[in-house]
This record gives sequence, structure tokens and C-alpha cells, in this order.
Amino acid sequence: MDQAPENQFKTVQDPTNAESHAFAFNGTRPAFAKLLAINSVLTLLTIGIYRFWAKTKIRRFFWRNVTFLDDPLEYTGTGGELFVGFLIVIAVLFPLGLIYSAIGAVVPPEHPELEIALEVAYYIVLFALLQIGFYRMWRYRMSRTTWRGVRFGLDGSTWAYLKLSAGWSVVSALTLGAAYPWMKIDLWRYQIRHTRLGDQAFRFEGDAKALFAAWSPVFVIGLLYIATFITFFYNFGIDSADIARALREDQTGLFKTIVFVFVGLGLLSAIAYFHYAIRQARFQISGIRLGGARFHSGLPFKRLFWFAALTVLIVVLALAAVSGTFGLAVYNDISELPGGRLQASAASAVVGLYVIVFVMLLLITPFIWTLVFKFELIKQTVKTTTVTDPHVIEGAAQIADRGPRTGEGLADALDIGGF
Amino acid sequence: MPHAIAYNDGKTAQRHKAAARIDADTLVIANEAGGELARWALSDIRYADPAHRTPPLRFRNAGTDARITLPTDDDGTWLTVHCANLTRRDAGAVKWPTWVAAGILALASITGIFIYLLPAASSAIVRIVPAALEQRIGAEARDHLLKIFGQLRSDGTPLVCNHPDAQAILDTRANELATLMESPFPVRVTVVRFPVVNALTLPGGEVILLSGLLDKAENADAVIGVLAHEIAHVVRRDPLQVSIKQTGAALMISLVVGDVFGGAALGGLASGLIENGYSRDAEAASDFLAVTALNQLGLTALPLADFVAAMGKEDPMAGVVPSFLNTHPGGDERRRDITRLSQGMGRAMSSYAWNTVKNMCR
Repeated sequence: MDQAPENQFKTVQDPTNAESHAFAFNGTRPAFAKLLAINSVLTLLTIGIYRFWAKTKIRRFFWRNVTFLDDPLEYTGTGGELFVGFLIVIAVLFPLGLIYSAIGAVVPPEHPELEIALEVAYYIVLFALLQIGFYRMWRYRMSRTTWRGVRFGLDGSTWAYLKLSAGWSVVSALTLGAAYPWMKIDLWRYQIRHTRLGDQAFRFEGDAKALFAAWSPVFVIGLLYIATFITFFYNFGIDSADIARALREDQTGLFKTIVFVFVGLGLLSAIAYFHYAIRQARFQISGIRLGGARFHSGLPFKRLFWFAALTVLIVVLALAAVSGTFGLAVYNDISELPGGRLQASAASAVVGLYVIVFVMLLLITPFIWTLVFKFELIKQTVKTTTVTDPHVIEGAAQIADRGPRTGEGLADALDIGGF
Repeated sequence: MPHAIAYNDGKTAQRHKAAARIDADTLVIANEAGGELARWALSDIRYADPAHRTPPLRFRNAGTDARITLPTDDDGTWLTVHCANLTRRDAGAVKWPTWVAAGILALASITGIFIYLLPAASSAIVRIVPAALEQRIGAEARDHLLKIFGQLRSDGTPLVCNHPDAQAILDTRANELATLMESPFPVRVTVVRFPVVNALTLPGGEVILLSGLLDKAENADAVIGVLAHEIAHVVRRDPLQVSIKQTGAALMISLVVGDVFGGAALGGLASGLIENGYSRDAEAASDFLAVTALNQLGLTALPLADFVAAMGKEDPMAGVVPSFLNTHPGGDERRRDITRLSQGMGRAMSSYAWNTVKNMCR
């Protein structure tokens, strides 16, 4: 399971003779936890506005802790650039959203097909914006990343990327998702081919065929999922009242069985997808080339799986503990009062407290997820990446293009890219 | 005495082994053979990353892409004590007073959007929506709302109180009032069996009275007064305007807040709290319109004044939020204004008619 996938190409040169260099990661969790905590508090206090500066600080942290050939990456972006990018996008998205709402209000209710058309148009626009937002985000990030003072960069056109992505999405949908790895790898190929360090362009070598074995469990489980859906609606209808009645009159136990299968398949597909995602990341890195330099990734599935499971466990246990305490408190409250009536003041105090703690936990969840899992993911991705024959990289020469002046507004508004 | 450093010239990704020494106000960087590579003015030297000041230290020459890196065992004091501007940003980078100003401007413009732009834009949109369309939207909304009320109740009695005589009495009064106020739509009154003291107005002339209101009302004038007030909202097309305003507010909040609290969901919730219901002006204008119509019919508005005051006391925001910020104007203020305007002395219904209406849901 942990075996690195082989890229589907023949090497002319024996790679074992070539010199191999590993990336190093020097960041520590305590330092990151402190940074993350301060960021979270400031972001909350400023109802979200601080997030641009928070993201910048986190990127600076990760970038400077990644070193290659003894020199770190450097992030040169600023929070101000992200903030201005955000303001620009707000100025575009806000009127767009208003227009969409206005059209929605004007659609005559007796034409449901118009409403469906509007819905479809919404998702098409959203899809396009997501792709554009992603590519522009990558362009900004690359232009703000330097190594030994030389800037990375991204060429290529957002429009071409959007077209490629749209075409592949159609193919992927028509094949019920079987073509998903080809889509991912082809988009990645486009992205990497247009990424460069100074004047040196990267390229990607690899055939998505190698990923299909890892993808097939996800694919099969997905098909079973759809089948279960169809069985469900075939038996119980799609109206919520019908479904509620079926639940009450569930004599054959079919309802419970289907729900059980649903949950089981959901869990399985999550694990299968996680496994695939790790394989894909490994494959994506292992196909990167820069001149004669060849990248290789040994990203470990098991370790990351346990970290993800640990994070989920911490969050679930915390939420369960709070819910349990709440239930107990209410129960005690009731039993103390005559007639089983809940005294309004006592009850509302308990409910209020519960809501506060619950919301706090929900706010803390992304913090835990980032600190425990994401940190490990980044650390392992960096540490397990090696480059054979990297010296061509040192020949990269600076070019004048400094990239976009502001960044990532669209990605921020659509909530893609994490930090 | 020269110090061993690594030098990146900012032109290629080469790492040059170099030696650096301070010569008056410059840092002289030379290669191993002694050939000079670069001269940096000490006042131009900056930390590559101001947040990172532990070895291995990296510095940049302001405005260029060149870097130097000190060895891991060098704490850099030989250099840093001579550099006055290690954390200064490059010229052209925005300085903090600008950010404070931009922040204040952004805050002001967001406030402006909520206080002026959204109400103005929503009023403008309302004016271009044809009355026929608003009626269709209202009919749709009514069906949805009745469905929701239906799901909230489970005692099996019919949801809508279907009493032809009582309905006829209410319809007659409602359409008299609508005619006097020059309503763009016919008014449809639906009485719903629901034990809450309230009345709702949807777009397009749809008024929904909850049976709790009939139970609580002491006389017909209170009910007809409330009806007149709701019809005033119909005439002013307030429900459509509020829903447009709320959509805009939700969009704005979810964009500004981003994903910190789960984005869009919070946007809807917060806008509901901020833009909850009609504005003070809309309520006051509706009171005025309603009382004027009641006066023309010779009906008293005093029971409406009492009713409004009683409802105001139950508003959870009363006393918490200063009254000028509260979108529901204070009940006492409204009572004062309605009482001052009311001129009619007549009663809205005979006691027989009132009994019929009061018991229409029983």
C-alpha cells in the first residue's frame, strides 16, 4: 500500500547513479500552534478581515521552513495584496449576486423549467469561477515564492485552463467518474508545465493509468452509492412526507437496512478516497521534472490516515462530551422540578451555556484540523520529496515578470486553497 | 575581519560561497578569491523575513532580489548592530497609516451599504417589479408559508379557518381599506389556526392573520386596526422590499466575513438579525397610512394603539438596543403617534359580526 507508484515512462539514464537530494522541513508544532492561535483570535475579533494577514503569516511560516540544498523558500506576498484582491472581487461578485437574486425573483413561478435553467446557469458560473479562482491563486502564490532570491512564476492562460477543466469535467461526468484521475493529472500537467523557477520551466511526466487501481475502489463504491440512492427513492418516493411515513411504518426493516448501507458506504468511500488522494499527490510530485532534475515523493498513507483519524476522533469526542453534559444538566434540571416542568430561567441558562460551548468547539475544530492533520500533511509532503540530479535548478535565472499586483480575491470569496 | 556567508545575487539560483565585511557604512561581499561581488548600504539591509530572526539568518538588499545567508552558528550581531532599518518595508509598500485609513473607509462604506445603498437599491428594484409579478411571488410565498405552518402543527384540525360569513366580513373591511389606500393589488386575507398573536404580510397583497390574534383581541377595532396596518405595508410594497434588502445583506455579510464562521450560513442568519422586518420609517409610515384610512371610514384607531404598545413590550429587543437602532420602533412611541392621529369614533363591526369573526377558528 505504501509502495510509491511508478511513473509510466522509460528512463534513459539509470536514476540510482544520480545524486539525490531531499527537501527538509524544520517547522515545529508548538511554534505553529502559537501562530495559529493568535491568528484565530485576531480573525474572530475582526469578524474575518484579519484573515488576509493571517494567511500571509502562515504561508511565511511554512515557506521558510521548507529548505532545499540548504536554502529555504521565501514567501514575499503581503496581507495587503490579498486584501486589495478581495476588495476588487467583492466589487465584481456583489453586483453579480444581486443580479442573480433579482433574476430569481422575476422568474414566473408557473415555468419551473426556467427555474431549473437558472439553477444550472448558477452552477456553470460557479464552476467557471472556481477554476479561474484556482489558477489565478496559483499564479499569485508562485509569483510570491522565491528560492535563493529567484522567483517562481506561472505562465499559461486562465481561459485555456478553464476550457481544459470544463472539457474534462464533461468527460468525467459522462463516464460516471471513471475518467477522474485522467482529468486531475491532465489539469496538473497543464499547471506544472506552465510553472517555472526563474526562466526554467517545469514539466510533468506520467500517465494517469497508474492511478486507476487506486481510483477503482472509490469508483465502485460511488456506483454502489448511486444504486442505493435509486433503491431508496424507488421504494420510498422523494417527498419528505412519504419518507417520514415509510420510517414510521418500517415493517420489513428495509428502511433501516438502506440507511445502514448508506452510512457504511459513506465511511468506506471516505477511506478509499483518502487513500486515492495520497496516491495521487505522490504521483503528481513524482512526475515533476526540471531539465534533468527529477522529483520523487514517498508520501506515507498509513501515517497520514492515523493523523486524520486522530483529528476526527478528538473533534467527535469533544462534541459528544459537550452534548452529554448538556443532556445530563437538562435531565437533572427536570427531575428537580415538580410536575416534570422545565423552569424557564434555569433551562434557558443551561441552553445558553450549551450553545456557547458548542459554538466554541465548532470554532476550534478547524484549528485542531489544521494543527494536527494539515501540519502533518505538509510536513510529510516536504520531507518525503527528493530530487535526483538537482543541479540544473541552480542554473535558473531571474526574469523580470513580477506577477500580478494583487491576489486571490476570487479564491478567497469562493473559499478555495486553504491558507 | 571577514565573515563567511552564502550569497545569492538575485539573478540566478546559484549559491555563492562568500565573505562579508563591514566597510564604513557598506557591507562588502567578496568571493573566495577576494573578488568583490556586491556592496550593500547598511541602511538598505533588511531581514528577508522580519518574523524570523533566529539562525540561520537571511537578509535582503532593499528593492533587489539579492539575498545573503549567515551560517547556522552565526547570530549575526556583527551585522545587525550596524543596520538601522532591518524591519522596514520597501518603498512603494503600503504603510500602516494608509491601512488604518483604508480600514476606516472600508468600515464606513460597509455601514453605508447597509444604511443607504441596500434600502435605496431595494426600493428602486421594487419600483420596476410589475404588480402582477409581485402578486405571483406573493401567492407562491403564501403556499410555502402555509405548508410550514402545517408542519408545525399536528392536532389534525384544518390549518386555514374556513368560515364563509366571517371571511366575508373581513374581506369587505379589507377591501374598503385597500381601496382608500389605493392599493395596487386586491387584498387576500387568510386566517390561520395558530396560537400566536401576530399578523404577517407577504408581497402582492397576501395578508395572513394568526388565530392567536383573534383570541387575544378584545374588540373588532383592534383586529381591523392591525389589518389596516398590514394593508398599509401591502400598499407600500414593504414585504418585497424587505426580502430584496435581506438577500443583499446576506450576500454582503457572507462575502465580508469569509469562511471564519462557516460563511454563507452565517450571512443569512446575521442578515436576518440585522435586517429583521420593517424599518422604523416603514412602520411609522404604515401607521400613518392605516390611521388615515381608518379616519376616513370614521373608525377609531385607539385599540390599534393599545395593541401596538402591548406588542412592543413583548419585543425581546426592547430596552436592550437603543430605540433609534431598533428596527421595530418602540411600542409607546407608536401608541403616542397613533393616538394623536386617530379621529374616528365608530366601531368596525356589530357585536354579532365580531362574535362571528372572533370564533371563526373554533
